[in-house]
Amino acid sequence: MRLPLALALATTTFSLRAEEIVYDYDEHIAPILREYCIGCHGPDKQKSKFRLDSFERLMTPGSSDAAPIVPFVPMESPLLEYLLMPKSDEYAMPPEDEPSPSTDEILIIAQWIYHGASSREAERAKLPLEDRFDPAPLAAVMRLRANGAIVQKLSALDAGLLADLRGLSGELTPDNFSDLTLIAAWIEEMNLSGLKSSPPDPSWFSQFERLKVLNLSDTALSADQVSALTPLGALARLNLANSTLKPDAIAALTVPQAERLFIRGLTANRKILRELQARHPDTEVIGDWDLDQTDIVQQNARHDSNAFDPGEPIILGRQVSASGIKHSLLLCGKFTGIISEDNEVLWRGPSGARDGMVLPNGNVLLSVQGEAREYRAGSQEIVWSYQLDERNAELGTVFRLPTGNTLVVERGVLPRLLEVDPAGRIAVEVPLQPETDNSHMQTRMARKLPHGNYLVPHLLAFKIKEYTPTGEVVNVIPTDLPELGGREARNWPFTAIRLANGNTLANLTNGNKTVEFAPDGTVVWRVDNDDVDGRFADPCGGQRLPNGNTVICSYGQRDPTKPRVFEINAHKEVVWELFFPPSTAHEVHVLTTNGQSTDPLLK
Amino acid sequence: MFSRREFLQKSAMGFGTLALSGVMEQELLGSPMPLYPKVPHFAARAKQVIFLYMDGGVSQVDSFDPKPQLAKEHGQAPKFSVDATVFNNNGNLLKSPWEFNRYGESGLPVSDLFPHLGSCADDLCVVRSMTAFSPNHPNANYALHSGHALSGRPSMGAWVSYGLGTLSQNLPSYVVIHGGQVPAGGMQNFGNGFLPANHQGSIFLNEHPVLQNTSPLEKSAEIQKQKLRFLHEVDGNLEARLAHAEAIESAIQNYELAFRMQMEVPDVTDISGETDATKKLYGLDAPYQNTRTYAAQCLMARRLVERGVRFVELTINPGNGDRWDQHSNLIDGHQKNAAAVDQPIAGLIKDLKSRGMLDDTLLVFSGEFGRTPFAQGTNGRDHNPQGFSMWMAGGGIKGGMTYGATDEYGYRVIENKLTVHDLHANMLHLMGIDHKRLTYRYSGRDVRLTDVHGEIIPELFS
Repeated sequence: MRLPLALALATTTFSLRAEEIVYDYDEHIAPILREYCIGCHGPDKQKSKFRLDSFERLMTPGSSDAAPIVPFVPMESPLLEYLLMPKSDEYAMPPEDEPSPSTDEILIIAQWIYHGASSREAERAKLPLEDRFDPAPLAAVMRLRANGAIVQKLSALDAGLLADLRGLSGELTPDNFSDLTLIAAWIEEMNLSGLKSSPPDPSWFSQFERLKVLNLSDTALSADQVSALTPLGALARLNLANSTLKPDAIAALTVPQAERLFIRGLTANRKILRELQARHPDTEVIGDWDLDQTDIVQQNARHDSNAFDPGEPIILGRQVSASGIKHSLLLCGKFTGIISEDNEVLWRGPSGARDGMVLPNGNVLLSVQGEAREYRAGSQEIVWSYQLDERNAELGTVFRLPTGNTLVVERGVLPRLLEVDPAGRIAVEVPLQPETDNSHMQTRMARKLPHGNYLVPHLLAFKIKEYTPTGEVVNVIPTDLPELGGREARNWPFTAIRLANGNTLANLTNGNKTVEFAPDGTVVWRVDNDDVDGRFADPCGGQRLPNGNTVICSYGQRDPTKPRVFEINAHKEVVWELFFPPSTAHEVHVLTTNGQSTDPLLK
Repeated sequence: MFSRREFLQKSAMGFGTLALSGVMEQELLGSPMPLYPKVPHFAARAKQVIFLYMDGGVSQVDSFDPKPQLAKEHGQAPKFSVDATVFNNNGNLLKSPWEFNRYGESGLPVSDLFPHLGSCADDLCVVRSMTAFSPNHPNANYALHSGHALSGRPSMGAWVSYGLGTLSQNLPSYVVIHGGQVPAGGMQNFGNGFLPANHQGSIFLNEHPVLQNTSPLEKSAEIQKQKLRFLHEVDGNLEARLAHAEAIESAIQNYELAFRMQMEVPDVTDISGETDATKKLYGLDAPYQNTRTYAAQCLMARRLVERGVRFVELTINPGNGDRWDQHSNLIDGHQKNAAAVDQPIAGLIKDLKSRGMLDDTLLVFSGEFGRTPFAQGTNGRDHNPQGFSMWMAGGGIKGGMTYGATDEYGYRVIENKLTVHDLHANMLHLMGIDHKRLTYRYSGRDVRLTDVHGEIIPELFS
């Protein structure tokens, strides 16, 4: 290999002396790299984190902390090293079986590096605007500045421009828009926050090919204008915070190329927003902050022994009981948290928990936002969690078993009951038969029985089924009995509690009843609205206390003058009520009764 | 040529009242705006800075640097060698009275002093290896603000203003939102040193009006304009003859700015347009008064940044037990200080983020030094320049990470030791300024904020 290279050197050097070619990146080097290198070191692939597809990138280190070239020093430039290696070496570039640049081409690269690795384009980019721009775009810049805009290079090294139009107070004239069009080819960052005027035509935005950051906050955009953003291939950040977009415009908003999209204040129903998120799988979509979270942190911090709290205890609800019953409890609903016997909020968690319980060590186990989470006592720290399988739609039940496993139920195309171990692995999987595809109505508060079977209420099936761990149904209690009103009464079983006497206590949600069934399915006790003066309103969660009383959550109760949770004794008398206007009551875990623990837990 | 004193005597109304140039008709002289934004050396990540100055020295082992070893050896005398302390009243090792929780996806540990900040954990970059040049407040303050442990140098805000100008026509480029607690070393911490006067920190107070002399005395704008036009005529000649002496130039600019601020400042301070939810987020309705005050400062900071102020610095409120400087009563004092700032700062971060402003705004939370892991007396902590924690967020900073480490007791830095020079170098770097190239000729030297030090740390950048 040496001899031909030497000959090539001799000839080329000779011709250089005669002609003194000044090598330029764009003219001489880029074509070579494009042909042989950027397939693996370019926008699609970056082997060893090297990119060789632009002048700037040739100066940027890859994974080895060295830039591909060192200007003026070809023999210390890794690019040249790799090109000069014998093909038998595994590090030789291009690899042995790929087309390689000729020795002439390698020499051109070497000469280019030796003479400083210059790029006329890059040098031009460093020039101030005034020296670089032609008269027409330069005049446009001056006019925009005279109107109060900031138009300047993004940096001394960059050719790209920043255009901040906020100084025009949102009122852009047609001349302003046409001036921006004159410099559109260079604008990389544009701030049109507060724009009130409409661009001359809906597709006006699509001309900004180099645009990386676009601020359209506090504006109103039509669907056409929004569609014009989609072709902006370089767009990395789009800010639409506090802007007004009608549903058709939101539906048209498609910028998956962006890294960040700000949509605070965009009002749309959940479906439209979900679709927006689905169109942007790799984009961080940032909406509004959650005031609820701030409230939760603030309320919880009050109970830290060394937190500073001059405020009054937080009371959101009140307990009423003629006989003086007081409970401390965990409420799961719009408000999810622990309330003391004096109605003080002791701990708050995220809104909307479907099921939950307080563990013996004080930690709180919740099913919330598609996840089963264990929160460390008194804090927001999550110490264990299990996330709903992506094939399924909802995670409902959560219960910590004596073995340390956590029972959860998933609803969706794969309705199943799981026992998840402390390490997050699935220890037991029981396929369920809810007899419906309506995920929301498949299964609710499933529980494990002492002898190892599972008791699972299936709403739309009108059945409470007992499963073995292998998925075999060994007992069925139907809830659409004629004596209970048949199917029309909509006695969907929500909660099923296996009592010590072998009977099953069930809350039949839409049927507004609580019924105790014998193992053979006969009704041995029932309570409905005739007994409790209308307190049943979609009873969901519930608990049987050691003294035989039953606590029932009326999830559908919206009347602030009626209790969300109430307690009845064996004689169907209401002995305790919880009024809690700010919340719904999906499930409850009553912790104490007048200072005494309510263990063992039956709910 | 006049001497400086003669010149000031000869100007029409005497010292302090210099002419204005074409301010009313928005005439453009050379550059369109006095502090027109300058082009940074290279591409910037952050355009603006909010510096949350924690006066007095926050204890690192009680905030962002958990040390289980302290709990294990609580009450015992330190086994390691201890440098001289300011008060020379060293007690035994004192474990943190606050528990640490891990927050966010990153699991960043934050103490119970800052639960609200904990909810922003994934945005915070906690640096645990800061060191200070001096254990004394004034010197450490000067160093933190100006890079030099003696007074007289320009504040970092002044350097940023000098290097980049401002994005706002009608507001100063460097504003200090003053909570009332004057830092040790005085308000010159926010001064311009030898840089032109219009780069100094403008002090906004925590009351109405925020700024002196921004409400016109004249009954009508026309009368004010006539007065100013007269001044302009009389002094116009003088300025031309002296060929733009810099002092005049910057004085003129100050007055032009003051004129425009008359319009903008009342607007900025009027928060009636903010939603109730926003006010609640920051804690404007918090039970503790100092939380409410600091919340108003943080909200003002966001509003100033929205309007283009380049560098905003917040000082804390008095009334929390002598700043963060708990030489005694650690629990009481740090509780109150944290209660005052925790919710507002978290609110600021969340608000900036949701408005898309966090990417362009660099937040820096730092005191001038830390506190000793062993007690001072029985229940306080002395100064600890040997190692302390601070954090940054937004503006190109990588969140959810910690950088550097102190030893197992949280006393001395053992990994990635940093000084204020490094902090300043990286702050400037994120704003697109090469700290080595931003210089001002003074005393025969091309002086930099970072003197001859300062290292860029790419690990901190996203």
